[in-house]
Amino acid sequence: MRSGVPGAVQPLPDEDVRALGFPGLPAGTPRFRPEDLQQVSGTRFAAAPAAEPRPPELRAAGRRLLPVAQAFYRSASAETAAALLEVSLRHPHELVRVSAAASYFEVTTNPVRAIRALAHGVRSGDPLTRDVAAHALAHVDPGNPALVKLLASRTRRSTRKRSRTSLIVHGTWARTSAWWQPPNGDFWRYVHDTVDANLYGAQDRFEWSGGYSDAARALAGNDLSAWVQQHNLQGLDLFTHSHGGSVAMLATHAGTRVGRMVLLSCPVHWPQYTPASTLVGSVVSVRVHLDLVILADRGGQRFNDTRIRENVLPIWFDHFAAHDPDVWRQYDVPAML
Amino acid sequence: MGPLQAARLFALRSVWSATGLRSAGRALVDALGSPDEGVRSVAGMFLVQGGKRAEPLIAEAIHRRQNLPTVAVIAGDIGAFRLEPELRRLTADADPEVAQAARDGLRILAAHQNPGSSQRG
Repeated sequence: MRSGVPGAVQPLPDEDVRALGFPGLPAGTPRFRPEDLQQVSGTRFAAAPAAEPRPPELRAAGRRLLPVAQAFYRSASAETAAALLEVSLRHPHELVRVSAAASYFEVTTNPVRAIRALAHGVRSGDPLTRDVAAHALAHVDPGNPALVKLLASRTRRSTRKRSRTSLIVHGTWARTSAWWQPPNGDFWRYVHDTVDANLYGAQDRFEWSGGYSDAARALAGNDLSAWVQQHNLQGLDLFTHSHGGSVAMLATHAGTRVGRMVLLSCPVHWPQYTPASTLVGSVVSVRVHLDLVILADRGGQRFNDTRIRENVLPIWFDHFAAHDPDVWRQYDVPAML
Repeated sequence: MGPLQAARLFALRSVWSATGLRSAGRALVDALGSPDEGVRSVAGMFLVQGGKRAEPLIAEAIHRRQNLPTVAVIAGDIGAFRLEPELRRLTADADPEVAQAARDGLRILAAHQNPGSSQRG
């Protein structure tokens, strides 16, 4: 279901939806009862869908899936879309069931059945199914016991010895900006003197092009990883601003271990830019309300991932407030880290 | 950058995208030199988001030596291979910031040509 709100983040860009051939649907979907959806789809299931569909359900769903999908493409509406999701909850492939469950929340009066499918999907042996299920479940039911195991394993990882060097990674177009540069940049000076005395300050500190493209960030992610190796660091803490956070995330996928990753006003482009969770101790995000630069970037304003701790400052619009020492002092940002 | 400045940039981007009006695009290039970091950032983002449409504006800015440290990187970001000779020339520029930006622009261009080279691990 797409949002029709101007300026809202679109999880699915319109051009992608068009390329996939999905019919357009208006925003503001009504909710349906499962019994009504089964009537629309011409199915009648004896019980609510189990996490693992039973053979008779699989057969019934298999028979109805094609005609229900055809009905949706013939006459796209909230009702035919919801009916397709209802049947897909019993699809033979778990990835389809989990994907259907992730969207089912938006259309149903009874979300319990979808939560059950997602909780089961979190334990799937298939990484993609597991990831889709975990992200969707964390979004709708972050306290679900099925997620506890994932969170517990992360907690264990974060208990390893803290890395001793830290670094600031600037964002787009900021290579020559003064604020992050040692030894006199105001943010560098503040972090070094107040937050982390191990902040790197030698001449050969890391910097990148600040380009605004995936290619520029990919190069920078590799360069950061190489910088860490050249300095014989087993890992480090990172203070990043804007797409500097994307660069840091890419560096973790190139093998860089990060103790603490601080994301300041980082645009959310999930799953394109994600931290490699096994190599990162903790991730903290600090941002402002309705960041205008992120709006222009077409990124998301907040992470929907329980592994990333979000902190929203009581400031509106200003993308650069997050690296302002006065803001850090006024709102005690160090306590958020 | 306040909402009004942002609104102006969004309006310029809309006009430039919808009509191709060169003066609207030029205003975005001009904004790259703003003292306001937010204005510079958003203007640069809009130019890159314009892709190939921005190429003539970037070429023009290079010839006029306008906001070169940013413009040279944008040339790489938008994959403006036609501007490669200009970027090569700028790597020998007397201004070290310009020379560095030109090297960055060339490196990003090369990464566009060979995406595998920028993806490791």
